[in-house]
Amino acid sequence: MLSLDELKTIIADILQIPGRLDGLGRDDTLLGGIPEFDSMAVVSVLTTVEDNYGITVDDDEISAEDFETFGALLDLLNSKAA
Amino acid sequence: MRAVSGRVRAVLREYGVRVALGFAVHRLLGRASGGSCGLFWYQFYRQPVGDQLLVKEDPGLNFLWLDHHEAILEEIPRPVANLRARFEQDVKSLVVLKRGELIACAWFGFGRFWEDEVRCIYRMPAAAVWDFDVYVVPRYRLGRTFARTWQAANTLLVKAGITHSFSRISAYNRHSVLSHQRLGAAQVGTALFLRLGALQLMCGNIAPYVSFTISVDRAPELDFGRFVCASASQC
Repeated sequence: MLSLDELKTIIADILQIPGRLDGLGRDDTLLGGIPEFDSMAVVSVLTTVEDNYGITVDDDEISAEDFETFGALLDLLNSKAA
Repeated sequence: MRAVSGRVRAVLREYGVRVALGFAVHRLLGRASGGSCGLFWYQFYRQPVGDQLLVKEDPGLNFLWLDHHEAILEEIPRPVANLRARFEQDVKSLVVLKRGELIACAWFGFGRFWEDEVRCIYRMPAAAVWDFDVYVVPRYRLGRTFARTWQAANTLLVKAGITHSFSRISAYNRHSVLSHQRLGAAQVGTALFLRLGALQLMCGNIAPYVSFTISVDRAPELDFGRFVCASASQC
């Protein structure tokens, strides 16, 4: 299981914004709320969790809603955990 | 009135005065002429072609490398006549299939490639291709399908001795300009085409730099040869 803190660390590392996500919670907006989080970042997040957490997500299983908040993305990723 | 001026200010801030003015002229000409006139502003980008893996491969994807029209291509939302006409040039299409369904498609022109929006020919050196019209089915756009399509195309192109691809983006398409820059593409030139019916005036910073034509059979030929380095790593 991926935790919220782990997910925030992954995203902060990819976007190179250390510390900026520290106070954010499940309901905070991700796509549209973090200016640096774009389609390239989506690719990087999916690649990182697949490589390090054994989570596999097919491209046709994701939508913009899954990236709307930290919580929505966390739920999606954990639902795909092996 | 305040809303309109706010929108104008936002456009000027995002695009800059020159591009915003160009776009305004383009829209005015297009509307006044029913589409036969316009001011087209292209920026030309070069990308290295390499066979390094950008993302993990998906074993569920199949790739078709087509040099002629096939019915599967008609799944992309383009006029069929336009798709068929593309193969009248030296063009190849990479079709990406998942469970037999087309999910993406990328197009590449070799040698001399005719632009279809203005009268212009792009001349590619032997080690380069013209890339145009990468299409990904909407529900696959958020994931890695684009990267996998590009990766598969690069692998095939490297085997064919290709080291670079070139493409053109409208200066008015800010989103696409930024996407290309994020992907590491380098701008190598620009050209402005004023089309007034059959009359066309071009100026730019790629040879022949300036062109004036009044015949629909004549077109300036932009030579991209000088933009190709000995190897992708030297660019």
